[in-house]
Amino acid sequence: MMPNLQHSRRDFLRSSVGLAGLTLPTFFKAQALAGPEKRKAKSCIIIYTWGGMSHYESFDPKPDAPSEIRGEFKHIRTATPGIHFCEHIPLIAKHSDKLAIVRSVNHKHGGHQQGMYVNMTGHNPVGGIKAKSRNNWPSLASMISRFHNPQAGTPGAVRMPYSMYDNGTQMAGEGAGWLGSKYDPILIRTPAGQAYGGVTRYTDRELNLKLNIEKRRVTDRRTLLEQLDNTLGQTQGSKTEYDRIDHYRRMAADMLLGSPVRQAYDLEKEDPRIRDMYGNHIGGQTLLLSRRLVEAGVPVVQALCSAGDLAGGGGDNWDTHRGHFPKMKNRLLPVFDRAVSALLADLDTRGMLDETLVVLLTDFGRTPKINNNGGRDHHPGVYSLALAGGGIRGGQVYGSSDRKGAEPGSNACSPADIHATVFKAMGIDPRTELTDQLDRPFQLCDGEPLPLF
Amino acid sequence: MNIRIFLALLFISTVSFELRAADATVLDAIRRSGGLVLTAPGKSGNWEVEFHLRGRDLTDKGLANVAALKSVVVLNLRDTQITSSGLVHLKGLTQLRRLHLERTKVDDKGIENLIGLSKLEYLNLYATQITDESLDRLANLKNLRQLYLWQTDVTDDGVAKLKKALPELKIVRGIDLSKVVPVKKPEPKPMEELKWVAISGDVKPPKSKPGSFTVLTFENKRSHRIKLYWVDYGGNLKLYGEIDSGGNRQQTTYSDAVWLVTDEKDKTLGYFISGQKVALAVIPK
Repeated sequence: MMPNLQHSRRDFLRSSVGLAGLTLPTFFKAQALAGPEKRKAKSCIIIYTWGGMSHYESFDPKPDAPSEIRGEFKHIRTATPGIHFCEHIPLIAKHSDKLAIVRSVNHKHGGHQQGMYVNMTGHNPVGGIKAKSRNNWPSLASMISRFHNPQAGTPGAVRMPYSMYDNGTQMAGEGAGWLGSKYDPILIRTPAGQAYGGVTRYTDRELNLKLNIEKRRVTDRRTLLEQLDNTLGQTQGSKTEYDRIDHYRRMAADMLLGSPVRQAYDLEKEDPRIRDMYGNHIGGQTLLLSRRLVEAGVPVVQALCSAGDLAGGGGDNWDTHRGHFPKMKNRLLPVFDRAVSALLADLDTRGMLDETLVVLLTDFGRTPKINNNGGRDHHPGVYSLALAGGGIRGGQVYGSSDRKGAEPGSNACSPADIHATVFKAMGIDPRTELTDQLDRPFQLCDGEPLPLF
Repeated sequence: MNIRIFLALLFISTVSFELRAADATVLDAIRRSGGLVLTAPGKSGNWEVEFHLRGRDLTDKGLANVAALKSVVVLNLRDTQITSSGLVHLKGLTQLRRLHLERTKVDDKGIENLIGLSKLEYLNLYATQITDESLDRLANLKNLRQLYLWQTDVTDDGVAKLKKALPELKIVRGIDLSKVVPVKKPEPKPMEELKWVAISGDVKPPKSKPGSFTVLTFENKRSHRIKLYWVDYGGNLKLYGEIDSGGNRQQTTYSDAVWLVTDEKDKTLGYFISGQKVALAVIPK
């Protein structure tokens, strides 16, 4: 593999040294950049709860608030003295020693698209953002993959099991934006598990392509690429569109031609008891697949844990405006609890957790007041996120919400600060300047890393 | 130029020259066998060597190349073909801080080669054949902080003993798979039963109206075979099949469809009108 000059200096260093020995300038930079730091995470799993997960009914219960705020659920002790979670995530509570909970995240965007965008990209959305636009900020997964150079045939970033939709419209914030199509995370379907609420959306073009080529038995890359060309047509869509598909096409070809990634994708090869541990639902099997992909060398995986189309109906999502409590208790939290706890246990068992950063993101929290439909509405004023592994010190809570869970009580922080923390754990300087395809400079992240290490 | 920077440059250039000469062949050999070599963060000349992705064919013999590299701080041999005999090549890798031997054929015989690796902080032995005998030897590794033992033959006593010898060591025994309880499958909902409307031969059944897709299960509880007709939108009868006594039939249909039941001689018995839900249609005795 030739060193890629477009990559960061750090990457350049790592690859060029391996190739031909150190040159003087790079060696100097090695000293300056690396230093006697702690070990960095090698991979990252981003778990996203689409629709906005209630902080009350997860990581920030308010047992002392009046009942119209507290809600129907009780709180329980976790493995860490003094830290309490909602009673319906008992399995995750047993792994609190691995988790850093941030209870003081907030932003100003009350819409799903805007809330998702700011959590996914770490930057405020401008008006009229559209999915797949090259003017968008890159997603966290895309940005991380920009600094990793996996072996041939291994995608830099994977997202599963499908794109986020609101009322039939695909949301902006999951792609590589101005970083260019090369860094678009590869969308992969989870091959097993019961669909969310019995409904699943598999209409993405890339997915269809993937499904089509999977049916073929192809043994060499050139034949496969030709077949993909025929499938796609040479002139379909705009140049950008073609580039995007072309990137996917090459990656799909590599992946299908026998690599550790291909083996990882085959969930039938997993111990059935491990599969049971994650749960026989798409949420669980997606996180199991995340572990397998990371194990196979994929640097970053983004997994949706329950995500139907919000207003368009169909499939479970976290946008609980109606019947919040039964839906949380019976459908959303059991899947989330089992899948996330299984992932943490599994990564720890295999000795992977210290090198794998797990980060939980969502659009925003839910309102303190329960509405007339027994639901909680959108609330970006304060909400909770969590991190684990990858050098993060577990068994801690950073920041707090006020007594009602309405605003930050202490150590208020932003999605950008969460991103900066993730970058730091991954050994990436959040102040790194990147250029878009027109060579305009952008600073990766405006946030400050939280002291969670 | 500041003299110190100059000296530093001089020193560095010498070092890099040596690196080029001595290690190039070895690096090349490792890479050819599917290994990945990275410079470790921190001190220069430290290597991270990984075989677990594309280098799974690595055998004991191939490990000799790694031994020649000397200052290897991270070595990942997960899923490779190495055995205990190969670990002799690790003896000289005294800078090793992190060693992955999980999912290999390594057993107790190989572990003695590791006791001189005094800087070792992380050792992964899950899914190997090691026993308490290995744990006794590992007690010599005073800097060991993380040890992974899932799916090995170690015992509680052996682990407790090591824990006593190395109180700062985190020992991970891993998930107890015998305690995994599968997600309870939701109970199948009791199916709605459609209303049976008994009619005699001279009464005409209503016509079907267009609706949405659904499925009906017909159950024949009569002591004789029956015939099943769909009454179309114009009121005409269309034969769909016959059901033996005690038998059943699954039928895809649409809501607001009329299904007429007759005996074998086409004598009208009654009908069902489908709803939007998947339902049961029981033909009574």
